[in-house]
Amino acid sequence: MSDVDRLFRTYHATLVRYLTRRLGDRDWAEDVAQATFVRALRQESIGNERAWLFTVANNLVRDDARKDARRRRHLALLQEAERETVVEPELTELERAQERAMARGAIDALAERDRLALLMREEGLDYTEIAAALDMSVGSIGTTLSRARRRLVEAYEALQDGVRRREGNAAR
Amino acid sequence: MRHVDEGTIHGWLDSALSADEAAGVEAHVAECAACAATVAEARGLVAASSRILSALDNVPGAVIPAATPASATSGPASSRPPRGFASRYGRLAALLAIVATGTAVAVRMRTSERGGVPSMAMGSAKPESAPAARDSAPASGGAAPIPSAAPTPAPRARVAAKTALPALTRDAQDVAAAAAGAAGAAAAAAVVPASRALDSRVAQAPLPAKVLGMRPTNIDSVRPGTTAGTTRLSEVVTTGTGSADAPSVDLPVRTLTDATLLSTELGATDSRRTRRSAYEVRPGVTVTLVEAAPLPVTDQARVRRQEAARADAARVDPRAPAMHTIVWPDAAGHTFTLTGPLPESELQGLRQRVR
Repeated sequence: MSDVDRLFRTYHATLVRYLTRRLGDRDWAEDVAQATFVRALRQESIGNERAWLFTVANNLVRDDARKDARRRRHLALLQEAERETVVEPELTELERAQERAMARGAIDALAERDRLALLMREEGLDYTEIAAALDMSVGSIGTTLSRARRRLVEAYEALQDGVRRREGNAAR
Repeated sequence: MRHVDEGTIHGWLDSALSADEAAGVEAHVAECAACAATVAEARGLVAASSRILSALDNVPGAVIPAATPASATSGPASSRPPRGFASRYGRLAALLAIVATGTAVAVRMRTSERGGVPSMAMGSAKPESAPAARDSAPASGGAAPIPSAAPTPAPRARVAAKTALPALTRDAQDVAAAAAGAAGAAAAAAVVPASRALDSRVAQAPLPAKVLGMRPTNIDSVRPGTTAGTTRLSEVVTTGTGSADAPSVDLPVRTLTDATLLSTELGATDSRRTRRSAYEVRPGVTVTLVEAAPLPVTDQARVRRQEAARADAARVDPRAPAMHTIVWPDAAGHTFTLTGPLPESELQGLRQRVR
């Protein structure tokens, strides 16, 4: 029991952040995190804790999406390749929301595995843990991450350029 | 010499290589300009990715709509949801236009009151909002500042509307339909350009504009700016938009029955989350209900004293009509304050109607 406490204290925040970034919904993220730790309760022992937790969390997301049509559509909407952000220049108070929209658009431009690998890396998982969670070879993680990062940045900058172009048009 | 492939470079930067491998990469990069450049670029990509991803944090809950906006039959790639959003939820978007306009104008008004110090006035004590209201309540009942401010905030409204559509719940849609009609002259100028603007594409990202717990009983009778002390724009404040940490609201939603809800505002006072709602109990008479989340026990006595002091101060304020305040806790430790230009006995009577 105290072991799960420790597990919770150590990994809950990072798991929630990973899920929040992945799902774009804090409630859903916290539900999945909660369910993951409940699963941990039932485990006799866990090898690599972080990899195990993230694997279980990913599976739960997939199950949620299967069972719940709304969530499936939500994920599908998130995964749409096309995103457009229309921004007006004087919107300073919505700046953070704009950045979030562009980040969302950028990350959704990635392939699913690239996206998950990058989000997990951001939570500090090492290559072995990511490979275990995603059922990939350790040797392929570096290439996956390099591709994911490049695509993310390119997609983000493309969205930013789109914004600037529209601002220029609007000014005319 | 064989160059280092990009995957290995990222592995090196992520400390995923063995000691030997790492040493090999380091040695090569020291001698190879091309690979050194690749490493520099990779470092930039690593840093930029982290920065971009951190923008995804602080998303509030309840993002998944209760009723999915996209048409049920279309798959993710086939439809053009933005147009569906715009036409189907035009009035909803109009509400958001009102929201953004109201918020923007509120900022504008308070900025002018406070001599250029912009403040969203969240959690402001009554004295701050009262002067703002009074000063903005000329004969036309508060409508005067609005048209002048409306044209500028209207463009802001467009983005709020666009970016927020996917995130709204069914409750919000019902309220929006009702409230859109009720916004009246105050927001008419903003609504028209906003709904026209919505014909263009809408951001798909599930942005966190969430219209909060309004349960209007008779919202069609809202007239902005009826008497002094009641002039308040319909500041329906969205949480989470651009806020640092979008806290989920854990305040119980209480409403005053048989009264018209004029506005509701979330804020914080003395580190407690508050919800401040203005109700019109009869024509020309407005009371304010403030709900505050519980404080740790040690702070309760202090805050109760402060609230009582504020109530006293309001009572003796010669500029205000004779205002009275009653304060009471509920079982969970939330504190309620009801303030209005009514004798305490009448306020106590109203308290019975707080559900």
